[in-house]
Amino acid sequence: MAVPLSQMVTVAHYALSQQVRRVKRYPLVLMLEPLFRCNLECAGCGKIQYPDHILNRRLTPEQCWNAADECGAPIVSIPGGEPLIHPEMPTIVEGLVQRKKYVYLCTNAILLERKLDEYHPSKFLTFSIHMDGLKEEHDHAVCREGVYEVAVKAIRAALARGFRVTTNTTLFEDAQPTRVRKFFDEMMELGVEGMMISPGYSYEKAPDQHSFLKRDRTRTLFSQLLSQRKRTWQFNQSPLFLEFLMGKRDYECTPWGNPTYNVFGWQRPCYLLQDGYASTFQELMEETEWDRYGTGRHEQCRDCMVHCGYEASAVKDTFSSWSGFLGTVRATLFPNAV
Amino acid sequence: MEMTSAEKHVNKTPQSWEGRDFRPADDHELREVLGRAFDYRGDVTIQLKTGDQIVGYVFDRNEGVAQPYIKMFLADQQEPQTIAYQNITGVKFSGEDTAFGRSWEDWAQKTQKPQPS
Repeated sequence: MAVPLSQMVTVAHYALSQQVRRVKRYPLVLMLEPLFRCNLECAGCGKIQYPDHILNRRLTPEQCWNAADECGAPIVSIPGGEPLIHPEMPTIVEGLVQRKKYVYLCTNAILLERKLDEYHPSKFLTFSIHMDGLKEEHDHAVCREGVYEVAVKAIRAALARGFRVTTNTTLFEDAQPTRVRKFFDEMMELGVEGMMISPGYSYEKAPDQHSFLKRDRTRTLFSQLLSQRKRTWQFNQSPLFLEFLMGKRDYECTPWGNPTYNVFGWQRPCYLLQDGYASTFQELMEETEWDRYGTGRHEQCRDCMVHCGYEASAVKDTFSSWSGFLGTVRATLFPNAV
Repeated sequence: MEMTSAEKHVNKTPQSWEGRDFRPADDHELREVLGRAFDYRGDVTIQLKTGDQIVGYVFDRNEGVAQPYIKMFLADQQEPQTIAYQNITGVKFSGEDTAFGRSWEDWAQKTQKPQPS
């Protein structure tokens, strides 16, 4: 089982209680960006292009905890930037774990091995390691030789100390299905709990604008990747979202599902688009013109099939209808069934 | 929209707004250039009606209120500054355009994409 039972129960209880209370819009994962500074400059990333005085800004632990309290989502994902650069990251994580939030600390793992002593293994803490493929593809994607081997070494060290470890993988236009499937084998052989995969988003500011996937190509690629799936592969994400990527399901985007808080405030409307900021989570939820966004409604949403918009849609489907629930059971037990 | 001489010679590429200096003639032009400033991934210099200048990063703008405004982070201040559109007379894209593709171009020059084995 890729995701621990306690986490599944927590998320299920949270989603069902929102449904029972007829809450129209609720967050599932808080995307907490405590800094934009990174120790890599990946060609597909549009998150780090700022002047130095912006890259030097940090959210305080109190700001991070307040955001988690305000938002109320059961899961907190900490991307960035590179979170391990933040000197107060262990304190931030500790406070979130005390709040019983399931924390996914997303890192390129360059600093992970030397920072492991600062963290304590917990079912609430997962290191989510950025791995964009086998050695050649990953080093190419992160624009630096040797990063794959550093990350693999750090994964082994974290696993040996009893930490939960997953991988997160962004796939671009040049992804080769046979190579990616081999990558899945390699990650599971390392012993990671599960893998997260998503098509890359065409950040307006990302240097490499030629490599982002269009929707048809995304469906074709993920069908090739996930058809005849090996039983050993574990994915740390909604099985219905994977079916969405394969073109077996169609969902509307749920941009409020993964609200983003960073040094600028609460980002409108989602993790990927920057259309302004709200001062409070309530202001974000109540004053954002949500109907302006999503495929067919906003030019920058046209080809997006990214997890931060659509995984929440898949989870809502699971808990809002019997067909969604039964589809989730089927896709979990028999992922290769049509 | 009046452009100063800076625009004629500064840009590294046609896509970059770095170095451009605008003096909007009306509200429409002001909104347009402040929209560009909001999208710009570098510092800008805001010219105020008072004659003062403010240099910083524009991270937010709100046109859906009675008095539209931008929000900026200044390099030496922790808290953001809010500036009403009506107090602005000019915008210069004075800081480096950090979004202009550096990594990919540099990397592409150094290496070939991996061939599947």
